[in-house]
Amino acid sequence: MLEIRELFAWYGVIEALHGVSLAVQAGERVAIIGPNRAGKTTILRAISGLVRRQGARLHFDGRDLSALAPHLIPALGIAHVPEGRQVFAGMSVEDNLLAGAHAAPWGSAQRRRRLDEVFALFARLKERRRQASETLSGGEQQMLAIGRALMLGPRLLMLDEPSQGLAPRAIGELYQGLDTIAAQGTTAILLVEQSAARALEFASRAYVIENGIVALEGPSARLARDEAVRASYLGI
Amino acid sequence: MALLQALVNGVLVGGVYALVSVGLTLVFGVMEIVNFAQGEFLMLGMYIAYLGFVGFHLDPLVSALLAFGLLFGLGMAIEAGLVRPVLKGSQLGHIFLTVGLSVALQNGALALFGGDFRAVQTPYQVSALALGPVRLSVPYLLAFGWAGAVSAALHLFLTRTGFGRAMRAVAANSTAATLCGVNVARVRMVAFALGCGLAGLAGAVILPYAYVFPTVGFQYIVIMFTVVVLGGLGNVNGAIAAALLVGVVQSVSTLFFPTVLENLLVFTLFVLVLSIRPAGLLGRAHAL
Repeated sequence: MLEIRELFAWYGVIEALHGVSLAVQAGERVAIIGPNRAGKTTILRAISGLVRRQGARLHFDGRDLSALAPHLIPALGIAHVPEGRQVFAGMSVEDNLLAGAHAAPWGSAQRRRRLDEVFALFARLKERRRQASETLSGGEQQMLAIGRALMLGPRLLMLDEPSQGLAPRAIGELYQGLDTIAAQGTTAILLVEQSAARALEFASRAYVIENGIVALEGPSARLARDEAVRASYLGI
Repeated sequence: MALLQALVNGVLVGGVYALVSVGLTLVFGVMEIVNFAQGEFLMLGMYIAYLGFVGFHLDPLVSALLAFGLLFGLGMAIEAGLVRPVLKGSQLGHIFLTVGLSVALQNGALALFGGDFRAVQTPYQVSALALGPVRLSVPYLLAFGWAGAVSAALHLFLTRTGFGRAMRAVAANSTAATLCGVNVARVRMVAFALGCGLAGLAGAVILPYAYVFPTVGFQYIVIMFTVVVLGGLGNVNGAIAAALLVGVVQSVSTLFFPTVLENLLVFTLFVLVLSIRPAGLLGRAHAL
């Protein structure tokens, strides 16, 4: 579904990705782990077109993403939950969610139904639907950011450090929600996580990114047994 | 009794200030640029209404719609041709552009219309309604009606329509809005055009009781900035509240001070409010 070969990306003149190849199949759970500033976030930003990038292949369902303006990418079914949540402050929970459906080609009835599905997944958002989004707790804001992305009915959900800054309990709830989404089988998840143990536990496959290249890749179970991964990322 | 009359006058004038200022705060909220040419768009709206009156006997309150449409179109063109290229640059670039635009428009108007003060004669110009002991000036009342209608329409647009919601999303966080599939460049163009259109509409609406001349915008830009900063930059509701407050303070102060000092109390209040609440009465809005 998502095919990336030899992807390069730049911040100004600084090259941040030096030829990354990566693939996500429909319905799959894939994690990207690695140290800080290795380029994990940049991969997601490159897919969404938020940074200057060039690749031998950057395709989603056969469509060339590099030919599209960034705002046209969500309509293909790619939802990106950015680092630090970035909910729309000053807007209610419900307005945040409705804004998430902006690119979806739906009528208002379908949008309502989608809203109900998100509320079913994160009941807390329903309780707070009229509340201004910036007054939510960190965990709730992360739920809102994910809910906003789900409003699109995406086939690929990309999450950037969703557990960052959250209390352990909130992280538990969050991953429960992600498990439910993945279990439905219609949405593939591409997860960037600082916490490698969490990510490897959640995903079936993972990529280890170091210095802008793929250092290792494989099934999560195998990576979790790998000596180097255990030493560097799992702290064992 | 004089106080009641002053309060009513103040609310009517304040409503017009809201109409004049709301475009400026909208543009700042969405684009983070201060449009120093906003007063000149008001001036253009006044001239459009003036020409409509002289040429076609159109009441300024009707040609307000025409002024809105024409300036909306002009705003789209200016945004696409002039503003967008400097938007990524420094704030200094924004200031040079909009101040330059202001000077160019003033001098363009001077070349076209000359420096004369012009006014229109409407049948309701000097009429007033008596409401108990209070007299309501009809031109001010009509202008206030327009201001109320525009505020309500703007509110509905921003909160009830998909495009309005997208505009608030861009104001709050343009990157996240892009990730929701919002065409940020187009939203900015419409926001800028709306700002211009609303200024033009306001210009037409005040023409029944105000003179038009090429530098008339300068008279209003000071009030616009006072209102917008007092209400909280980029905060539409804040601007409306601050406009009403400024109108009332001006009006009430004329009971105690000579009219030439009507702004003394306004600016005293301005300094006081900002020293207590630096972000303005309602604060910097995140999403308009």
